[in-house]
Amino acid sequence: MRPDPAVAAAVDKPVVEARDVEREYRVGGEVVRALRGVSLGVAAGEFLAVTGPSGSGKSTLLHLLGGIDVPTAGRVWLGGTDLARLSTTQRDRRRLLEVGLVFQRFHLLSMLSARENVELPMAEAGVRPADRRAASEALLRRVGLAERSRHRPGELSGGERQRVAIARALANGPRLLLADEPTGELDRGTSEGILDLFAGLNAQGVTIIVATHDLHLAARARRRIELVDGRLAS
Amino acid sequence: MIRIQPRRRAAWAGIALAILAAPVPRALAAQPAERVPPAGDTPVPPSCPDPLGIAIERPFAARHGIGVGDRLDVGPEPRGRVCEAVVRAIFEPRPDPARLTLERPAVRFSFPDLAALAGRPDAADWFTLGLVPGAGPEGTSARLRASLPGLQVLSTAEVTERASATFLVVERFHGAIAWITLVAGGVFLSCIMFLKVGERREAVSALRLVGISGATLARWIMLEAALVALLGGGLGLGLGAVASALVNGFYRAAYDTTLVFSLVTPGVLIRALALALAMGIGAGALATYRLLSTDPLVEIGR
Amino acid sequence: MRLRYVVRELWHHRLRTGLALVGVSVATAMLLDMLMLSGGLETSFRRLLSSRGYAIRIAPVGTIPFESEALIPSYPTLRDTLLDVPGVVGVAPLLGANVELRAGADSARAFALGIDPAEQGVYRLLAGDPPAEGRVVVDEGLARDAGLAIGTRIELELAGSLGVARRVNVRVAGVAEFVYSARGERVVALPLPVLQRLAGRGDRIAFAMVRISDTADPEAVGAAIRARAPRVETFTVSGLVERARARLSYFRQLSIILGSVATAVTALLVGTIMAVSINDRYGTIAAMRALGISRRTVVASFTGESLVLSAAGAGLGVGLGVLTAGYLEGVLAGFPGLPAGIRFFVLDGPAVGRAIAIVLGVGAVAGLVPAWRVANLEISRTLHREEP
Repeated sequence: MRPDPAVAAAVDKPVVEARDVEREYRVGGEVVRALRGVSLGVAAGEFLAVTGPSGSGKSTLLHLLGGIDVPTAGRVWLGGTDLARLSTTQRDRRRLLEVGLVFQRFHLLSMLSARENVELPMAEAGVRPADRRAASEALLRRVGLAERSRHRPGELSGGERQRVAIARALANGPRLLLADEPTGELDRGTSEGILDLFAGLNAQGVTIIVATHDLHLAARARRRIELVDGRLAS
Repeated sequence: MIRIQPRRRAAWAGIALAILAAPVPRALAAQPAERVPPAGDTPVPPSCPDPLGIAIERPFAARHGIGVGDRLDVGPEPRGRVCEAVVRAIFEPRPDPARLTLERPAVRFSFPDLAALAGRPDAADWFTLGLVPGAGPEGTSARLRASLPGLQVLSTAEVTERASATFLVVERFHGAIAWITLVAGGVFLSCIMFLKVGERREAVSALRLVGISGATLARWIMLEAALVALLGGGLGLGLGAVASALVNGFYRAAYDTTLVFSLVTPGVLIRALALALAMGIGAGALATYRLLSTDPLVEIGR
Repeated sequence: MRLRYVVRELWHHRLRTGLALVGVSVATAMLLDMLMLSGGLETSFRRLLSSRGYAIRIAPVGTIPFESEALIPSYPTLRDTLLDVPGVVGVAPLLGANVELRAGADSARAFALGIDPAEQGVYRLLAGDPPAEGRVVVDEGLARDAGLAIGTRIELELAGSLGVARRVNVRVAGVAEFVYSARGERVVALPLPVLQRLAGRGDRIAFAMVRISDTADPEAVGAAIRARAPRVETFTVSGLVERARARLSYFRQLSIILGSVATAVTALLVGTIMAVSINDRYGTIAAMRALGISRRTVVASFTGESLVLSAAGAGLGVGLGVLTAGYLEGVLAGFPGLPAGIRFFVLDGPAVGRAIAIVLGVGAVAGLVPAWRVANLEISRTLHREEP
């Protein structure tokens, strides 16, 4: 299936594009339709917020766009590549190099320092130790944690942990940063700091898609779409 | 009962030397190759009693297809003079663990026949005394020892004790293995309990914060540990009974004997279940203590 | 980098890791002990039989040495016959009898061995001289307990001789270690003719040991001996060990059963530890997979964790196994009549290697299963479940 010219025309050089994607899950004996016929294109340098109530399919859409999951119907292209044509291993590799992910619960490895957590994707990508160290220090400086690089997650505040997670997401210089409820576990003040960080990264050219039910966060994005019951409301 | 025998060196009953038993051919060696009388005896040439009737143990008879009425050659030595004997009876040998690994069959003669066959008409290896009611074996043994120098006088209890020495060692060995296995099992159980109880730390911490006391939670967990130990112990008893039956079946068939190799008694069952309960509850108590000694706020905050 | 992370992860959960190490080490110890036991007695028996350089044993046909009073007649003739057999270079006769040993007012029961001092394989002289006419060698335990020194006068009386006292007065010429004697057994060695006279045995012996040349084949020599002396039975070391293998099946069966139990415990323990460890980190593992960490990396990490756990436990377990083997050896040493030189648990490289290899292999597989499962988890579903 080729990209819809209409959708492609609506955005300039899409980093990621979805066409009529659907996703169904079987839960017990029931079929749950998490996404129904969603089409979307995100250009390079965009800051997109995906909003909607809980269970509207925000996380599912992010997973499909990032190649974490495959749609039941429809197609997703990442950097012009149809993700459905890739094997699991190939999709893993694309994600490692081209997509950065930030989670609500941070998911840092507790026995590693901040720097070592940031180095993890680089090590997987085959970057040499010396280069990894320099790059991770630079990333931590970028997110404002230069002095905390040796600290373990247990020694960091919630906001600091999320900054480490953001630095980790940027480890391999991805073309796309996906964040699923990045401020869900943080207080208002800390959330503001994270939002400022996202804004700053976007200003530096990082393409960001954030799934959130926080309208204040959504307002900081340059574009916003809303999902209701698995469909695009706007 | 008292057994009286010449003082002689106890048989090298060690397992290492029991392996030297040679298979006995059809021409039975009723006595060893050359039976030499103790100093002082006057040997006479072996003679063939006529008729000569013998009884043979069932396992040997079954292995070699010997039946009542069959005629066999017997003699003091395999390649020496032989006498013809008729099998008058086949008997079930007394279950004797000391004879398990021996390949030599038990054969019974009338005493005068065997004495004549061995050329020892007036000698015996040992004889047994029956005591009149009321006569104590210890006192009688002591009197006999005093009046029969050069002979050993042993009560049945003493004979049993000496004959059981090997199996007492085996019993101690089995006991040692059992304790080591228990320790291994106990460590394993503790490990699993710690892990499984630890999996519930968040839920337990939430309950404590809600107001459920540590004592109540401990009781719940200990009750669960006790129930699991009881169920597991019961299952284990069943498994053990099956294993015991299998062991007996296997070894009885292998050695063609009626010996009981594994015996599950009520005492064994009770001890096993008690140990299982103790270990389960002990492991549960350790895990519960560890779980409840941490700050619930810290656990929730994780 | 990964090994460092694995070690840190294990250290991070010290209690869990410590308990698992104890469990694996106890299981390894039991496994090692059973591996030692399965072949220990046989190995020890072979070593003992070969220790003095005698490759063939000779006994009266159809008998076991010293189990009955059977004797081999006409030893001088037999000796000449044996020495004529190609390959035979030495014959060591043995005759045994119970004696009462008296030194001054003290007496002790002992076992007398009649030997040829020039060709014997039952003792190693520790001090003094070999036996000779009027001179005997005693075992070190007897010398210690009865206070016998070289030169002490003792009287030996044949035990069990009703009404006819047979005695001989001798001096202690030497103290020796008797290699085939049981623990606590009191032994005195004297020249064969002296014991034959004392016991009224004429020219008879109980059995003999035969030394053969380095190039001779024991089986062939044994067959030649049987052909020339049909009233005797011959036993090579290999033949005795082979017969022992059948008789010692109990220990082999026990070691197989208990070894299997120990292996199963290791597998269960490591598998459970890894499963719980993985369950604890399901969300994080899903996140790592979402980041692009490959399935291979996930499997390698967790398998590495189980391997490190197994290796550390195995290392500790080897030491523990040596200790427990020593304890069990002490229990089994109580077998009556067992030569003191026999060992049930023989520690050798192959046994240790096998134990470690089994524990590592089982630990790797036990870790591999949950690792493979988690590496193939549905990332999206897991994230949905783990994220609020």
